[in-house]
Amino acid sequence: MRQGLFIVGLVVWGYSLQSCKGDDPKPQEEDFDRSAMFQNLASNVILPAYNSFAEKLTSFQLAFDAYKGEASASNLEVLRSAFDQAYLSWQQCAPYEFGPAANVGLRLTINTFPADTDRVHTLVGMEDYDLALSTNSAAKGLPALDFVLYQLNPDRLGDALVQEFIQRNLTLMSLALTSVEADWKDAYQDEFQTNLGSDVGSSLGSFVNAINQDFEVLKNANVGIPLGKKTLGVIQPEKVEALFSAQSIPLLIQHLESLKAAFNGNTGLGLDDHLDALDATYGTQSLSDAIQMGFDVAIASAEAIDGKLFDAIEQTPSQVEDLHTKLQSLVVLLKTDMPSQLGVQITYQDNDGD
Amino acid sequence: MIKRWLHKQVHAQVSIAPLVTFRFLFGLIMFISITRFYLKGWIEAQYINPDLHFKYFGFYWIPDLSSMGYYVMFGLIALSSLGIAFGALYRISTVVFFLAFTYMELVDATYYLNHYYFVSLVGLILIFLPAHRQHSIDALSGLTKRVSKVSAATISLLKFQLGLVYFLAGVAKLNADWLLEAMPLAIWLPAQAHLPIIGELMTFKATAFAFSWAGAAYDLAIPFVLLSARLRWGGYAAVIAFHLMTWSFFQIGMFPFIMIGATLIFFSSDFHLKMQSHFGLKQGAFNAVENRIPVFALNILTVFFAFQVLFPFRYLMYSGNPYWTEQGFRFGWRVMLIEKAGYAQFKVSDEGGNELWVDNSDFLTAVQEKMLSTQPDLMLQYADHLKTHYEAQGVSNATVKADVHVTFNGRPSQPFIDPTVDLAELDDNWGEKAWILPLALERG
Repeated sequence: MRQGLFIVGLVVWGYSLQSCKGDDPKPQEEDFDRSAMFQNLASNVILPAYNSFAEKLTSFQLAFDAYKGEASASNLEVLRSAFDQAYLSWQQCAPYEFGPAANVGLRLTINTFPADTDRVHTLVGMEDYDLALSTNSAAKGLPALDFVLYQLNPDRLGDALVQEFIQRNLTLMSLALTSVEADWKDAYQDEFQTNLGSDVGSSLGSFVNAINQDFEVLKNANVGIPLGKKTLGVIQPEKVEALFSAQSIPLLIQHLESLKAAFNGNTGLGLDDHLDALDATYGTQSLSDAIQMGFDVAIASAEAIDGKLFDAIEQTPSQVEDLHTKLQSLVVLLKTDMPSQLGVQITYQDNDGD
Repeated sequence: MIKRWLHKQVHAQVSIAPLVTFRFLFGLIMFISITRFYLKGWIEAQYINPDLHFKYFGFYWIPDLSSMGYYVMFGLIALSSLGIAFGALYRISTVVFFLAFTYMELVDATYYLNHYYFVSLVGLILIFLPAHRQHSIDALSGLTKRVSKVSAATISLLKFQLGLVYFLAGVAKLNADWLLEAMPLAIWLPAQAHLPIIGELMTFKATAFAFSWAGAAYDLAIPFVLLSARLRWGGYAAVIAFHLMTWSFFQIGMFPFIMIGATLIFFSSDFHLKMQSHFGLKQGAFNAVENRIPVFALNILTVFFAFQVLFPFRYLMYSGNPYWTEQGFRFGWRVMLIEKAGYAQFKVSDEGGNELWVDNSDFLTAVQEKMLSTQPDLMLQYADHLKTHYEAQGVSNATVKADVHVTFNGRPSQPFIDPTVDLAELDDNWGEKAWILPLALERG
C-alpha cells in the first residue's frame, strides 16, 4: 500500500515539476484526429487519384478503339494525347505504393522505366507471350507504350500484333488498377482509417514509408541516375522517364505536386496538420512550412529547366544538378525530421526492441 | 556490521529453491523468445538475407555462416534453453547457450540490444551456478548429486547483476534531455494518443515528464526496494506494472517478460519453496555438503562486476554528448533514451574526382541502413566495404565520403559527420572520432 502511494507520489511530483516550469498542461496534440486524417487521405486524395487514372485509361482505350477504326493522323494525335494524359494522371497514384497497391505491385506494373526497348521490339513481333513474366518486367506498362506510340514507325501501328501489344498493356494496367480500387473500397479503407498506431504496419507507418520510398524513386530514377549519380558522373539521359514522348519535366512536376498533396492531404487534414498539432518546428519555422517550402523550391527548380530533361542533362546539367540538390535537401526533412516528430519508425521490419 | 552482512550474502547456506525457479523461467522464456524469433522470419531477414554484416569493434574476426549454419546455431540456442529450463546436461547446455547466443549477437552489430547483452551476461553466470542440483533431469538421472542448500553467493550475484542493470539504466536517465525535456517520451507518448481511455492523457507534456521522472526513480530505486522484505511485494507489483506498460507502448519484444521472470530471484526461499510445492515439486531433505565459494572465484567475480560498473562510463573519455555521438554508447544500459532518425548518403570518388552516389539498398537491408545512418562505427565499416567493392569494379583509388543528417530527440535534423573526410581511410579504434560534428542546433 505504502509503496503504491510512493509511486503515485512520484507521478504527482513529476506533474508539479512540470507546472513549476510555467507551462500550461495543455494537450500537445490539440485533439488531432488521426482517424479523420486517414479518412480525408482515403476519400479525398488516394481514391480520387485512382479514379482519375481509371478515367484516363478509359479515354485512352476509347482513343485506341477510334484509331483502330481509322488510322488517321488526327486520330493518332488524339491517341498520343490520351496516352500523355494517362501518364500524367498516373503520377497522382505513384506515392501510394502500400496496402492494395503494394500487394499487386502496381508501380512495377504501370511504370517500370526505362523500358527495355529491345524486348518491346521482340514482343510486338510475337504472337504469344506473357507480360507477367519477369523477362518482360521492363517491357510493359506506360514506358513500353511510350516507345510504341512515339518511337516505333507510325506505319507499324496498323499491325495487328502491335495493336495486340497495346491492347494487352491497356488491359494489364486496367485490371491491376481495378483490383487495387476494389481492395481499397472493399476492405482496406476501413482498416486504413482504424489502424491508428504508429508502429510498423500501422497506417501512419505505411503511409509515411510509402511517401518516402516514392520520393527516393523520384530522386534516383527520374533525376539521379540519368544525371550520372550512380555512374561516376557518366550521364545516362536515355534513362529518363517518358523518353520518347519527351514529357519528363511535366511528369516530374506532377509527381512532385502529387507528393506534396499526399503530405498536405490536399486541402483537408494531412501530415502537415499532424505536425502542426505536435508543434513540430524546424529552426525558426514550423516543420510543415519547411517541408512545404522544400516542395515549392524543388518544383520551381524543375520548372526552371529549359526544354526537355534529356537535352538539359546533356546541355545545361547545372540546372538538373540544382534540382537534384533541392530534392536531397527535402528528402532529409521527409526521412528524418517528419517521421521522428511523428514517432514513426522508418523501417520495413518489426524488431525485437531496445 | 557490513562485513558480517557481506559474509552472510556470500557464505551462508541457503535453499537452492530460488535458483531452480530462475533456471526454469530463464530457460523457458529464452526458448519462447528464440522460437518467436524464428517464427517471425527474423533468422532469414536479419542473418541470411543481408550481404554484409556489421561487426563490433574488436570482433571483426567473427565469421559469417551459411544459412544452414545460422539455423543450426539457433537450433542449438533453442535446445540449450530447454536444457537450462529442465536441468538436462546443464553444464553443457549453459556453455552452449552462452557461446551460441553470444556468437549470434556478435555476427551483426546492427541488432545490438541491451537485453541481448543482459542475456549473454546471465548465460555466462549460469554456467557456474549449481542451479541444476535439484528438480532437474540431471538430478533425477543421477548425473549430479542433489543438494538442497547452496552458498548464498550463487543467488546474491544474480540479484547483484539484476540490480546493477536497473541502477545503471537509472543513472543513464539522469541527463538533461530525459529530465528537463522529457525526451524522447514527449515524442513517443503522443504517438499513443489513439489508445482508449489513457490516450488523451498521453498528449499532455506533463505525462511525458511524469513518466520520465518516475522511470528514472523506478530504475534507481527498484534494486533496493526488492531487497527489502517489507517493500518487496509492492516493488514487484511495480516491476510488473512498469514492464507491462513499456511492453504495450513500445516494440520491445520479450525483454519485459525476461525481467518480470528474473526479478523473482529477490523473493525469499520460502516463497520459492511454496511456489514449487504448488507445482508438485517437493523439497527433499538432502544432506547439504557445505560448499564454500573459493577465494579465486570471488576475485574473478569482483573483476567481472567491476568491468560492468566501469565500462558504461567509458563515454567520459570522449567529448560531446554520448547520445549524439554514440561514442561509448553501447553496453551501458542506455535503454529507450534516444529518438533518432538519420539519412546517410555515401559518395564514392575515383582519383579523377568523378563521383557516384551509392544506393544503400544495393548493399544493406532497411534495418541495417537505418542503424548505419546514426552510428559512426558502422559508417567506417561500410565505407571500407564500398571501397573494396568499387575498386573491384574498376574505380581507382576510391575515396568514400558521406553526407549524413540526423535528428536527435526532437531537434531539427543537422549534419552528423564531416562530409569532407574519407571514411575508407580511417580505422576504428578507442580514440575520439573527431569527424563527428558537434550537436549544434537546439530545438526551436
